[in-house]
Amino acid sequence: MEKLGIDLWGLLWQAVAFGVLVFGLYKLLYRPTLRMLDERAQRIRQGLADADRARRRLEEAEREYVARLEEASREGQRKVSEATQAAQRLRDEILAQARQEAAALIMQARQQIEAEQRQALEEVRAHIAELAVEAARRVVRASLDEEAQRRLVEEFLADEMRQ
Amino acid sequence: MGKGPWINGRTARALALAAQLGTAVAASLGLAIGGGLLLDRWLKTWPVFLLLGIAVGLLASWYTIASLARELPGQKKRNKEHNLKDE
Amino acid sequence: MEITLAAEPVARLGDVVITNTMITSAIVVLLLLAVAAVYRARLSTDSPGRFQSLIESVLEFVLNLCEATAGKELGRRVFPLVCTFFVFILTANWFGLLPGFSAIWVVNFEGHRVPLLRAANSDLNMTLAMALIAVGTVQVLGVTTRGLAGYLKELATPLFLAPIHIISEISHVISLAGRLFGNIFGGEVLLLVMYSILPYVVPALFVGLEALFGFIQALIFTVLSVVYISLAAGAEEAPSAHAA
Repeated sequence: MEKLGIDLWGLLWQAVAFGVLVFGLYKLLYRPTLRMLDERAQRIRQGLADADRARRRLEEAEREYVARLEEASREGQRKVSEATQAAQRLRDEILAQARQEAAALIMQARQQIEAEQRQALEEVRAHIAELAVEAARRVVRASLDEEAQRRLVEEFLADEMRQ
Repeated sequence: MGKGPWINGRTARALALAAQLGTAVAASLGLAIGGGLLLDRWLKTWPVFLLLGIAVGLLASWYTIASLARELPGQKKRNKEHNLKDE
Repeated sequence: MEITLAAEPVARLGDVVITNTMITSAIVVLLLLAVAAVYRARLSTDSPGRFQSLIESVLEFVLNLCEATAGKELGRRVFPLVCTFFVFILTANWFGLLPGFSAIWVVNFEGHRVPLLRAANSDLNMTLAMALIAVGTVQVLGVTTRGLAGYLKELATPLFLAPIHIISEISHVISLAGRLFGNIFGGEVLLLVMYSILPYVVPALFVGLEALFGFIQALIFTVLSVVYISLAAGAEEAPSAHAA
């Protein structure tokens, strides 16, 4: 042992020197470095997660935008078709009303015409009756002879024909 | 240094184990034979413990080789299968 | 020129002797602590400079090694010890290669001329202390994960293999300490011889080679300590065990 240079004191000195180094490096080197490496790894993970989240948020926003756009387009179409329908309805209404009015007018006109016809007929009838009465009166007045009667009727008829 | 291309963990392991094989064998043999010689001198039984020491030393070096070689890269799988069979 | 396995004593304080490797290891420890203090003061999560990035990459390399071998949780727990093995051994090995490192000579209390500094890992006390800490940690982890009874049971199963298990554990200490010591001490001797034979030109080449060996030895010690620790704790083998 002595020849090899091994002695307890030397062993102890070197072991203590090494132990001091382990302790000192642990405090000064390993612990801060490991902490920093962990922190850095954590930060990288965090950064990746953040980027991922941002990407997802962007995608979501994009989807939402597209959805809104589609909805707006649908809404517009709906409004247009609604307006078209409303216009159609209005047109139909107007037309129907116009037809109704026209029909009413025609009906009225027809009634009036009928009334006038009736009245005219009435008048003619009355006139004829009057004429008949007149003719009868003249017949009675001239009932002296047949000649006179015939002349009278012919006169009357000629009068009527002239009218 | 670091993960330089000229040395990696696998190479370092193989290198260290290979380097250890020779010295560990020599140390095992030397320890056993030396112990045997000391015992012989103390008990005045030469060459009983010397021969015993040689035998033990050979066994110990074989054991040391086996335990180190098991750690060599590429031996892992076979070793695990071996262990499984043993159990 | 005299080369001894044992570290040369430089000074004596009362009963205790201070060797040149003790001085070197103390200097390396203080140097590393100083660097760490500067690092700590400048630490920034968002804008790491070159200095911080370099240290970070070293730590991440060792952290990956730990987590891949011993699992995420245990790997993190033993990381401070394992990383200190790597950082200290590497720094001590490279520190010993600096030009002029072994050029300072002093006369010690015994009247011998000795170098003031000597590579810390060329002293078995240093490498043995670290190996004992590593294997000791392994035993402690074995006890804490399996309980004392379970730990002893595993050690003595089957009973006649108990001495072999114990020898094997001790051999881990010896081989960890011995290889690191042998490599660095051998390198020191080689460089010393080279400097005395052919100053300046050839040694530069060997210094480069020794720098590579110094790195490899630091790596080996570190990897082995993690492997032993993961074995002792029966760590669930991480799926990426070999991918670090």
